[in-house]
Amino acid sequence: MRWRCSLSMISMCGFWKMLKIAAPVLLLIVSVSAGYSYSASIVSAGRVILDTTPLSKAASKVYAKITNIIEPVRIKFPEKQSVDALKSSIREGVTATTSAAARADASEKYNLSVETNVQDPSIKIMNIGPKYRDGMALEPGNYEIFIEKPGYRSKRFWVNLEDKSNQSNDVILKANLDPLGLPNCTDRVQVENYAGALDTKGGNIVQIQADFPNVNINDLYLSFAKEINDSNFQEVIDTIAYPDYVEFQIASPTTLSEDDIKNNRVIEIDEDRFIMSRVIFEQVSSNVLFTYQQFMPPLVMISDMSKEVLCEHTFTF
Amino acid sequence: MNTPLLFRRLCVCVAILFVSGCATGNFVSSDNFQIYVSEKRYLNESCSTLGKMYNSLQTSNRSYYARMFIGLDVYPHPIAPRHERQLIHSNLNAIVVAIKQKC
Repeated sequence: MRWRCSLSMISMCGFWKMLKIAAPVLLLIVSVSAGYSYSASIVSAGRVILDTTPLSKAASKVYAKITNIIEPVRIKFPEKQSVDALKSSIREGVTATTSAAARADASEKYNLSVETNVQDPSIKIMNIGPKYRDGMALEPGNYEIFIEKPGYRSKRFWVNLEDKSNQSNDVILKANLDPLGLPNCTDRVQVENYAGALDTKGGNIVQIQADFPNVNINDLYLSFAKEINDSNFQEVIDTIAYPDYVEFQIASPTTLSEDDIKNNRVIEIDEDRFIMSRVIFEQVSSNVLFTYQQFMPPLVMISDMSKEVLCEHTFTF
Repeated sequence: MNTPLLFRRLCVCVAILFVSGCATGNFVSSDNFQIYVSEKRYLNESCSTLGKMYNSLQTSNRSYYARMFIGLDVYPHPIAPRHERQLIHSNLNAIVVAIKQKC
């Protein structure tokens, strides 16, 4: 089968943020050079469908093997890595400093204060009941601190308040929150293999990479996981997590099939034709390499990609 | 829903993009594309697991195993043959590097 496209062709609808935007309207104009030609449009009210139909029910056939929808706190490090993960939990940008105040002896509590670069952040200590307040008294031990503010990448880390008599009892944690997004995005995004895939033997792979400067992998993947979790059209089917490497394997629905194209159908979201994606975060010294690979079904084609649009709609985690 | 509105929304959504006179024929991918496979994904595996992975990519079922290692075992669609070969090759290389480094 030979195709010649007169204007535009589909479809990167798997990309999380983009699909959120793209789902309402998928327009396809195709001319088929088979002795005749026509223009056709395929319109899907995807957003309505996704909003009104529980995905877990609609997609049950396709996602039979899916057992978990990811939540950041449910990502489990392999057992042998967990100790290292905890040890590395105090990171660059998160420093614990003590004042020259009175020394604490073993029986005393620590007074914890968290300082950030943003106003009025939400600060929680996840492994105890009482709410955080500035200078709150804590027994010696390990505490999981979670700091978030809309528009910023949240931070979640452990701090150890050790019971040592040579420390002061005033502990000040300094934690800077980074703005969401990728600085100088269009310069940093690399898009590969966006053309092609009109091959009935198999689908195409699109790869997008970006280098996030001076950021910690934990902050980045947690932020991404939150975004995924907030969407209701994607399923995380597996996660591989190590201290310096986190991979999400994600399935998301698409709309197109060869039959739909040929017959110019108005279609609904077709869970039987889903896009498989791998999203990889990899710590490379002080930067994080982000890799996104999207496995398209046969006959779904990416013709070109705009870095500007990718940056505006995609790198928002 | 009228067509101009569709076009406006289409312009916003873009992952869909413009093919001006897009392709004739069944082309598969852009030139010089190499699928990225991280060595770190394998460096964290145990040596015995790496050995099993290496052996599985030498068998006649290597396509199946390569898919499994990268989470594509639930994905029912074929991958273009060129990419499938790349996937096997890239994963095998990363496993070999990991074995050399840690085993």
